[in-house]
Amino acid sequence: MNAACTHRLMIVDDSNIMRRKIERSQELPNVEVVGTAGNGREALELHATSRPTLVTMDLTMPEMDGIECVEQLVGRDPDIRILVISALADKATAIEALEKGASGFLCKPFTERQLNEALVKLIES
Amino acid sequence: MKRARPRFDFSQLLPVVVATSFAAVLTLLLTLGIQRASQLQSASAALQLASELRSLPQYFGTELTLVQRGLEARTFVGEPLADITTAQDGFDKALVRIDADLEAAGLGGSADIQRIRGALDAAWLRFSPLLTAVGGHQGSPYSDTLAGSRLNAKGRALKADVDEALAAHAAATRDVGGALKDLAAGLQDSVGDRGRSLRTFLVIGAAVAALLLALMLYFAVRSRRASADARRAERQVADILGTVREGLFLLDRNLSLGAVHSASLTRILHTEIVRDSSFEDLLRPLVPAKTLATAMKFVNLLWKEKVHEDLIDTVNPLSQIEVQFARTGGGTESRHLSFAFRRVKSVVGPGEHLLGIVTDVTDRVQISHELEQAKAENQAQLDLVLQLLRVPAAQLQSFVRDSDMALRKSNAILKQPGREESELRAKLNGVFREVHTVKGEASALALTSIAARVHQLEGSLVALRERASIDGNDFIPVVVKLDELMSYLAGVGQFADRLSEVQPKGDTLKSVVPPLLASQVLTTEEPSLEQFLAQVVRETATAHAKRVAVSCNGLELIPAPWRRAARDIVIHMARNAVVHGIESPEKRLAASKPETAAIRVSFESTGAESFVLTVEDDGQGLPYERILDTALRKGLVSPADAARMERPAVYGLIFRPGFSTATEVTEHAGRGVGLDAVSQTVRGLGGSIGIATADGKFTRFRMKLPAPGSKSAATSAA
Repeated sequence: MNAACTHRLMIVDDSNIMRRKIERSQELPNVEVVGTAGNGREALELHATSRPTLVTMDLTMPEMDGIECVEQLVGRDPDIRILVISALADKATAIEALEKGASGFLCKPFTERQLNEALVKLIES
Repeated sequence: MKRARPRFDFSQLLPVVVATSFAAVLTLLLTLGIQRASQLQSASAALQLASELRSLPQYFGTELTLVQRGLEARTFVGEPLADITTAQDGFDKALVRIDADLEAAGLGGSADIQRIRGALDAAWLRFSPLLTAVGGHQGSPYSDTLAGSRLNAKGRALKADVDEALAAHAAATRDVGGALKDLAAGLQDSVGDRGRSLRTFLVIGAAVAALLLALMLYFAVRSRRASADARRAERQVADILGTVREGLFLLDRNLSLGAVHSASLTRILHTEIVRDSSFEDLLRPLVPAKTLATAMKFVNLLWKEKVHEDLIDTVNPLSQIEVQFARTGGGTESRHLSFAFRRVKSVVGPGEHLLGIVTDVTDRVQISHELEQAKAENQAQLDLVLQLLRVPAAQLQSFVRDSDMALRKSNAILKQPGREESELRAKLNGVFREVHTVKGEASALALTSIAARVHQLEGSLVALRERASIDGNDFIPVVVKLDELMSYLAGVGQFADRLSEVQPKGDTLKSVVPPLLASQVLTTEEPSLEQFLAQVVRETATAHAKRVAVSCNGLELIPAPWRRAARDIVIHMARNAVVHGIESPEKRLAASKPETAAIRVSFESTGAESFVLTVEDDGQGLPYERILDTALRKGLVSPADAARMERPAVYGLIFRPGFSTATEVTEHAGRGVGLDAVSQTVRGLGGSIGIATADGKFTRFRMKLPAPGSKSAATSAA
């Protein structure tokens, strides 16, 4: 990947702490955080205005959950790269999100290094 | 299913391309050679004709001279005339044939040859009409007269033509002969050229053929070597697949198994692997339906280009599964398997397969379980040490001594003769009492780790007691467990001894234990019964969420020989009171009783030779109905007896071995051995127990004991 080519990251998680953690942990030079959303509906609104290329997506959220949001985002932009970040209670749900078009899964809790490595792979995928 | 077409491999076709090219060149060369050869043949034929024709001008001269001499001698000239016409005709035909041969020899276009051919024609056409004129004469040239024969008009005309032809003959011979000579020379050159060129073609052709042969040999050797390499590679792949410990297999887009797999796969999955069979079928007997469905979805994710294979490892539902395999000797065996999947990077085109890797991780899982167990054991040991640190060393040593004695006594009981069912049951009850006492003391000292261990042993004794029939062999595990418990307690004893070395007499443990614990640490001197009792009641009450205050009176007056027995009795009774007699604080409040219950223990002299030990609580009183129910259920009394029994007799049932009314068995009480042990001890001392109780108000046990060394005590000891 060309370092000059900037990837636009949107963070979707209903936990404020988790959103901040992801925002602060991500330290890739070619990734720029374009916004954060607290649920699926907000994520769709934000997508319309800031056109992210990368997304970190929580699964259980109020109003619109992660799976539906993944489906809608991929419907709007088939090239969008989505990393599902969730606690691994139910593998089947994570697999469903991947079937809907997400590219990878990162298990909570995670370290800064794990997040950055996952983002690098997300860009590769 | 659509398959990507494998890319064309030109290197494999190289021999074919080269061989075809060489063959084409060779064919061309041979064709040219054949052409040259046939041209050569035609040129040779033309040369031969030309050579033959060179003698014809001479022949015409001879024949013309024969005609001339015949005319002079008046002889018959028809024959030479016919010969001339025939030869002339032959010459014409020969020329036509030469032309055809020249054309066939490819010399039709040759300027030199054409020039010579032109000169020949010109020379021949100058001479040929003269011959035609001579040959065209008909009829006799003579007229016969008496004077003899003489030339007639025809004869003269003939003679004139012959003379003319003969006159032209020298020039014609020169011209025609010269032209033929030139033609022969030209053809000679041409034949030489054609011959050389034919030789050249043949030499090149032979060279090409040799080269082709060499190339074919080279390719044959190379292909042989390549197939040998391929065979070797195949063998090596087979070696790898036969040796590798992991089960390796390939899956195509339909999730069917590929043609090859590692030998370990059969071993790990305990099944024969059928080529092209479906992975789902392979997995079906191993995992629950839900896991199977999730697993299939997961594997299919790997075909999605957008999904990064490293980023989905954690959701692999087959990353660690427990499976059951039928054992050959019957029964099943549990194994832990781990499946991993990788996209196969193909050298030609996009990957067509997934590589499946299955490993038997049973050992790893077991080790991690063992590690966890070891961790728990360490924790338990640490807990034990902390518990031990809270107990003064002297008290601990005393506990270990007493417990050791109790356990030795249990061993002795087990070794007593007697194999009858009733004898065995008596032994069991004896051991039970001893073990229960140890448990009670451990609980009293808040040594919960030790109490839990003794509780386990007690559990196996209970299980044994509840069996319909027992025999001597059933005691073997009990003996083993007793032994284990003894060595465990020996360890505790060693610790207590070492503790007594570091604990200064009369001082606290503040220097060696954390402040929180230090506050609870008592002096190293063995506490009085009163202190000990207070501690037991406190621990037991805390464990049962009850609030109890204990008050003692006169316990210091207990005669020395009975202190040990009295202590056992009081501890048992007090603990039973806390667990069974006293209600929960809520219940007490609801019954308008003080939240904190009271236990009173007193020892008093009732004359010179007897004492009374009283243990009283203000709890709920003895539950008459429940005692009777329990006794009936356990078969301690018959229904007929029960109907006749009076209240005091019913209360007496609680001292029977194996009686317990508590619904929950705990480390503190509830196995119905406490009161049994008390009763035994009191009777052992020659005493008796009296019960007074009022429903919802109190329970009081009065134990009358003879003075040590008194008549009744001596009698009972005897």
